[in-house]
Amino acid sequence: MTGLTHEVARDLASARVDGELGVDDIRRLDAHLSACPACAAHDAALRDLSSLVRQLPRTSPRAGLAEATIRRLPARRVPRGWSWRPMQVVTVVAMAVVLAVVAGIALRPGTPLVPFATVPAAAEAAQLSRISTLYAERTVVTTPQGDPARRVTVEERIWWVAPDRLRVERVEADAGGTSTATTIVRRSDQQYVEVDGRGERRTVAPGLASVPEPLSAGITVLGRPTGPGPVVAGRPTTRYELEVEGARRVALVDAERYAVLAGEESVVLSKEVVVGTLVVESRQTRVLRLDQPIDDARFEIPRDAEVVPGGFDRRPVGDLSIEPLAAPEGLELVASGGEPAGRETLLFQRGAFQVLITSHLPDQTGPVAVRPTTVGGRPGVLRIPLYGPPSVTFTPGSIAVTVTVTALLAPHALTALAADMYLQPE
Amino acid sequence: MTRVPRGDVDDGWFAGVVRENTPVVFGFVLRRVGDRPRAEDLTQETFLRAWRARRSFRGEDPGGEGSSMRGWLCAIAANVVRDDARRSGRRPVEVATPEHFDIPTDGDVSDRMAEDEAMGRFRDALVALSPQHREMFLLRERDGLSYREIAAALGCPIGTVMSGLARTRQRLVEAVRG
Repeated sequence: MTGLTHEVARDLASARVDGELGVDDIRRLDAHLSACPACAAHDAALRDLSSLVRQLPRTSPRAGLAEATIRRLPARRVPRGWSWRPMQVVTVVAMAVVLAVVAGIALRPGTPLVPFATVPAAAEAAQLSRISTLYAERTVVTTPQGDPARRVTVEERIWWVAPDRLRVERVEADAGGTSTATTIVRRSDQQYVEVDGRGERRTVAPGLASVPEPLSAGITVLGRPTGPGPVVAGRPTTRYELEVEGARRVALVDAERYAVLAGEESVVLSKEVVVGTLVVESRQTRVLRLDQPIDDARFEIPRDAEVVPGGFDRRPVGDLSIEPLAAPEGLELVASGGEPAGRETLLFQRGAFQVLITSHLPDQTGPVAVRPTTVGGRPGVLRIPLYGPPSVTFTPGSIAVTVTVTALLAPHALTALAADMYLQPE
Repeated sequence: MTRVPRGDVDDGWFAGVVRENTPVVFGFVLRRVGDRPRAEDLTQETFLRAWRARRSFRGEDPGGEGSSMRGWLCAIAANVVRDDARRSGRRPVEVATPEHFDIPTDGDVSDRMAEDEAMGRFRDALVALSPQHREMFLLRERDGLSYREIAAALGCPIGTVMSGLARTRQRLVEAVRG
């Protein structure tokens, strides 16, 4: 038969329910199950068990317990009298990624700071984005203000290699049937855009490419495995539930981390000037492929493309109006400068961990959840795109600043980082 | 530049850690002490201890699906419960009542009767499990901890978690089948 004893098969079946089984073991298990009705019945019974557990009522702590606990925590102390000082980036425990606690090298001499949190060490920084490549196909239907006559359907193929290579092939069709084909290629500080066959390239601020956080990072940050999913294309899957600002999504992930999004949920976004008022009617991703090699040729920019003048102009940090009060310790300043129309950029980096500061909102593709927040007591706006890193925008002085990081920072850590960089300590 | 008040923990990441993990830690503690008010106190103490030790937290999650913060917090909670038992001279809990797997007991008897038979057998079987196995099972199935986190929480090897869960499920499946 298959070489598996019944006992081992049942052990494997149990591990599979928990999503802890590798591909080879899954194949061996399925081979055994297809030939052994008793074990197959056991396998099915395991899933019934999960549903019984879900029916168990549970006691919850009283409503105010977490807040009462927080109030008992000692307030953090920050030394006074700083102007430009080395500062440590807030660490956060994101559900997928944890940043190790190691102090880095100060960008400028200053009074040592009692570390509240620190930047990741180099090795961790390099591994921060657990997902390093993404290929996705998706269809997004958007209906501005619920009006079917204005419905737009977008079909996309996306290739992305962390952190700054991106290729998007997009076909956009409106309700009247008019369609537009767009290709975007981004690599480091070059961007190429081709619309209906006509392409041009320009130099852009170095930094993050627009679809950097693939969905499985979103799965681990925002969601947890909730049990076995259905078999999809012959592959057993684990079901994850995600939440993006109150909208529930379901993803099914198999052992090779191919994921298919369940397409029946709709995501409703509103309340923000950047995208108007949108009702995203339905969203289907046909395939999402993670950490598979992508040929660099995908990101080649045609040499004969028209070069658009202007573009990124490197200037010292001190010349920019977005200069922070304090720089993240342990991170290297990779770029500073501006573009025409006053768009300024700073980029701090350590391995795959980047902190991007801009005077303008980040380019975004796909749905983005937006909500008001506070940054050191000042009003700000938090943006969490489904396919992008979170960012926070606020106005520490006279101009608005947007802080974006590639790591999976929880929103409160992101706002703390922004406050640390731009606001005077008490 | 205007000065802005700082030192407000509400803006800090640890406040988020507390909010997000209070339910899991509370359930974990309640299952060990069986007594709500005490569980609440010990939950708070767990977070205070975690706060003091926060810089020693070394998360590793190279292949896992969840946060190893939960495993770390539960491991601290286990110590807090042990220390409290030692301090107060309480004996470790030996008898498992429904409180010990955080199921409310203030329901009507008739609610219990209306319950599915399979559900009833399931609950009985859960009570009959050893505390370690019941804990493993609930941490996995209900709180969604990964094998690695459960191993951290219970202080045992990952292999023990894996085989423990398989055995427990076998036992529960047989009990439910009747």
